Amino acid sequence: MTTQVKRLLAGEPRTVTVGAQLLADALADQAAPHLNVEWRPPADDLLPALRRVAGDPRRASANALAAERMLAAGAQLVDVRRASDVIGLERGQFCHAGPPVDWARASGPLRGALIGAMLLEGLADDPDDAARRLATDTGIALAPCHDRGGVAPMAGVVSPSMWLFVLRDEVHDRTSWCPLNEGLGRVLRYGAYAPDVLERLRWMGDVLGPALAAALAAHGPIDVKGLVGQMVQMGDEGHNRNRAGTLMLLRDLLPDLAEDTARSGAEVARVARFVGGNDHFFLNLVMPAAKLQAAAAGDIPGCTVVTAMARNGTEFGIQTSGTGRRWFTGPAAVPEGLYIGGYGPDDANPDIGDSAITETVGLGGFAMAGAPAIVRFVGGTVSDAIRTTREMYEITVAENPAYALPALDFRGVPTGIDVTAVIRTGILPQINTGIAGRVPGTGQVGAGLVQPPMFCFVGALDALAEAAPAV
Amino acid sequence: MGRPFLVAASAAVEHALVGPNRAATVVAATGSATYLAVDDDSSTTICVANPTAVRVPCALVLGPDATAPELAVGTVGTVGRGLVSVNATAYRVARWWRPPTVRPVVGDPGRLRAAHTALTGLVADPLDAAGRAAAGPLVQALAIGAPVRPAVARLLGRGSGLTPTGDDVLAGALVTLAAFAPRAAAPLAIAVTEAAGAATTAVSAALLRHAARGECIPQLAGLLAAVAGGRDAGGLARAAGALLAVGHCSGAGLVHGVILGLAVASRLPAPAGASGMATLVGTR
Amino acid sequence: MSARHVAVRAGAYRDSIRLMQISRMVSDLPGVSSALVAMATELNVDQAIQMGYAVPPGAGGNDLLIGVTVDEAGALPAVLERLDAELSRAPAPATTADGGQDTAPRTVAAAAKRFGATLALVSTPGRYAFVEAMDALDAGVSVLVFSDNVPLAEEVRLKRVADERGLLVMGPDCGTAIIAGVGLGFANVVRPGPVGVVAASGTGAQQVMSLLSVAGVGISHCLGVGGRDLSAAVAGASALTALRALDDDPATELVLVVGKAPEPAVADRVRSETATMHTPALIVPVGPGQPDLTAGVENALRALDRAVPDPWPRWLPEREFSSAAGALRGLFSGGSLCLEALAIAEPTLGQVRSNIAADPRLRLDPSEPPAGHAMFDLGDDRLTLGRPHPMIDIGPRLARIAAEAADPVCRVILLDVVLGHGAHPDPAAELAPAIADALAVRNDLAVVCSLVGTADDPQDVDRQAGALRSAGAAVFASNAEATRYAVRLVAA
Repeated sequence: MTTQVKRLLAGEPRTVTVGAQLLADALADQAAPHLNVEWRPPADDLLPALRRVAGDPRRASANALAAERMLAAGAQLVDVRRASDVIGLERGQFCHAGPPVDWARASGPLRGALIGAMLLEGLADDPDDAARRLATDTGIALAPCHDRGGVAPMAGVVSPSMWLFVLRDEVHDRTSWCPLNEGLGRVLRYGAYAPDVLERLRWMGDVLGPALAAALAAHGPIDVKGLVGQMVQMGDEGHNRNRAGTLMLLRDLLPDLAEDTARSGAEVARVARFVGGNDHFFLNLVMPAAKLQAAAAGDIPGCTVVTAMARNGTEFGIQTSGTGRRWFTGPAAVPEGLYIGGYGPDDANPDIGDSAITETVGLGGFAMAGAPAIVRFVGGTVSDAIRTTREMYEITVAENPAYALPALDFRGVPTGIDVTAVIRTGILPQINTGIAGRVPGTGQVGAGLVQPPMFCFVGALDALAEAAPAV
Repeated sequence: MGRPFLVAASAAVEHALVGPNRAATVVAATGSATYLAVDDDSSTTICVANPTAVRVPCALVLGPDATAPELAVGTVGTVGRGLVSVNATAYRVARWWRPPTVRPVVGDPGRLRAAHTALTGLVADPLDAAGRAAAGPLVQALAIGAPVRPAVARLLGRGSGLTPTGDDVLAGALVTLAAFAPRAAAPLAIAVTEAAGAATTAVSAALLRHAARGECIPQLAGLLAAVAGGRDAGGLARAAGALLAVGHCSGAGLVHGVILGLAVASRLPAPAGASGMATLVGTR
Repeated sequence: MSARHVAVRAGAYRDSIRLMQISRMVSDLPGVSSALVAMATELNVDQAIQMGYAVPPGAGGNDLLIGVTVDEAGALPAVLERLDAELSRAPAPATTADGGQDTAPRTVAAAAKRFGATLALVSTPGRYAFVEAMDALDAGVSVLVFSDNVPLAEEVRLKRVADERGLLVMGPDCGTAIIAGVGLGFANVVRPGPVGVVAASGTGAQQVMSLLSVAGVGISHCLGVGGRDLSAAVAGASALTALRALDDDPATELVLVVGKAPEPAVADRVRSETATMHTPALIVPVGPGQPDLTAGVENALRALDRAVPDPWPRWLPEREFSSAAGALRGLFSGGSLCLEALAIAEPTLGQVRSNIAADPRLRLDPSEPPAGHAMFDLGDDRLTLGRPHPMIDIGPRLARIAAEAADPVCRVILLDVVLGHGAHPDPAAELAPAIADALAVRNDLAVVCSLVGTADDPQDVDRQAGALRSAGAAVFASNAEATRYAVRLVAA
């Protein structure tokens, strides 16, 4: 029982000090090892909830369990199939990114993507017809991807005919999914729905999906977790840079693609060119792998670890392990960053997409120390990137040795955001993101950095406090 | 003279530190530790050490952020009244600490033999051929109570560096025997302390004197506690790993000394009167 | 009999340089004849096969391949243990690409994890202390809560959680602790020795340890538990843990429990705990009807078979004080020292008013002018809210000394001066001139000081005593002796 106390008395104490500087100085005067916390008082109006959550005796073991599960979760790419098969999505049903939202509150890029999906599924004659039906038809149903166990980048619109990557975490017996990445520029996920966008989506459904499915079947499951571990040592942070991951995926699948006798050489070449030419192709595998990790930590009573961060273009939402599927939302911010061509901040839509699931498990903005090549793209220096990652360790419960950062001497990425640590330190999670155009049909206008609103974490804290026993 | 560096002083060298002022000479300096030989009756040696240095039983440990100037071997200063002064640098005792000191316990022979086997597989014998030739007879002599001086003489000072490997092996054996075979420890302690002054470096001789009293570095105490606690192969490997990481090859020498000590102790019958697995390592 | 081990692990990527280092380390272990630890790329699989390992089919470049051959099968578990330890070894957080420092830690848990802490010292304002202390317990480290004004319910919760996890909570309102020679909060520099202290009273413990130091007896540890620990609500939760820990501690040969007399039910629990201990324990209570702290120390010395200093150190001024009727005014920085002085003075002087008097009718706020005898604990919780403790800030006491000297009824001023880490760096430098001024104005006034300190304290106890004595004060190492001396001066 008192083994810890015994250890305390076994040698000179290594002391963490918080509060009066005088007492830290007294330790310095004794040549005694100590580390001072740069403490600041939490806001007094949050203090009652914070005291209650901090005093929850379940919290420590709950968070430890969440961390253990997040680190143990596996991620194997096992299948590529249509959404109608994988999650039983029916005609008129659409998934979208972020917390729940309806047409009336949907942002420009989400509306554009929904219009495109209506056209793709043959549910409307033209964009105006699609918009009208989306606003009025009772047969149309929208649901967050997260509610169906999956994730999708940017607008994240998934319709029944789209092909999905299917990933398995055998450790926790869980499945996740994500659609295939369309590439950069004018694409559906950024809200574009011009004929060329739909043409590409049809090719993805007719050729790319079946080709990948056949190659994967021949190859056998691909260990996405292993690839992510390698990519973060090759300069990818898994959110805004996925180049190494994409090429490794192609390396693994290309021989099986080429051996597929059912396909012409030209077809194989086009598939290889499409995958290899899209640096973000692998993002859509990092995301469902991350979803498996985050979901593994879900539904632990008293646990204050964040299990989802997602945006629908209007609101930013988070979920925590201790509060299940409830979303805590706040208005999504406009990312700060660099803009493509003639676009500027006025053209930008507020933050959108499920891709912040990567930050939820320590990738993306949290792993910036591993992606020096893109620091300028998101506005900063290499030192800034390293400082960002270091700061994220202050609000996370674990370090993931499977995703080790060479620049930090192979320290694992900061994993598992603790709501109470965010509230206490005022440090918000750092998210790397693409920026969508505000007007439906525009597409991507830039990329940059964004943070969730503190309001989400305050809401989560209050809910966790309600669920905690009184002190 | 500037503000003195504040140090945490080992109570094992208290008498020299709080006594009257005496001359002290720098006898060795590594990147992280400076050894001074005090001109007193008991040939006390003190070690001014960085906090990251190995914590030898005669250490005066500097604070985490202190960087003490390097002192040349041969420099003469004073030690006494709670202060160490060399040239323009002074070190003041700000607090006291007690080095780990093993005390006799009854080592369950099965546990000692199991530990002997497990540790033997973990480290290559760091001794040279002549050292190895002396180690066997030393174990033999300790086991049957024969004179140990010849074997000790062949090991003392064998090897190079601040603490030659032969001395590390003897130190490991001394502390191990102090824990598990105190009757065998006594003749070895006498033989080593008598001969060390002339046979090896001043620093090594001082550390051997501490070892003869059962005083040791925390990593060695940790390994012996793991042995006494009957830890499994993994636990022993972890504890040995921590000790192996000490110095360039000192750790390997100490582990090898532990192996020799266990060889002796596991053959000896348990001393009469003692019982149970008492706490092995004290801080006093 | 040699043995081979082959394994393939998925999702365990390490870079090739790290794996080459690990292969080399394993190969070098005695009894290992070959080892290969590598990602299962085609090249590495070929090499493994050439080395004679039967690599299971299906291993790919993203899997970790392990092959080890040992001379004796029995050596395999230990070798694999070393291998696993090496694979999972956290990198040393030393060199990084920016060569820079880690950012400052922002929470106790983050700092504790990074620093490998064994203890957290919390001294934030009281209303924030619970969150920080729980954070420490959640990070698996014991905690000393120096902060006062922490709600009782939070203290109870902290101690219950600590108990469940085998941790120790010292405090809240724990002013003094010493662990393995390291002083925490207000602490004197003591040598290592056989006495372990459980302290429900900070300055009481400082007095006890200082007197033991004078007698040449050192301290193993002093574990503060906070003034409320022995109350009925907290039920000695930390005191019992501290007693068990000191009983387990091989360095401790005698345990002293220092503090106000506990509630009867709690006293029973403490007694039944000490009865089962292998290490002898003595209670050194503070307060009315109890033997004084000095007597407690003398008992402890006799239990250790050590000589009792006779007399305890005292530094008397050249000019002797004359005794005459008048009022005694005590100005204390230490609560337990004030309590002890009250307990000693009352039987002789009768009513002594105080801000910490047990009898509400005798309570007197320090801001009100006293008429007769009075003793004030100027370090009381209610007086230190938002202000430094009088052991750190001497200023208020200087003003008070002048005020008492101006009161013709006052004949004796009794002070405590507490040295050690955390306390004022040179209290005599401020107190001595104030005392000299007071005595210069009033030749019928006496100033008596108790001086709690050790030879190794940074303030230098002899120098402090010398300065106070030169100013005209009578100085005593024992607070009880100082109080008796002061009482005799006015009781005549």
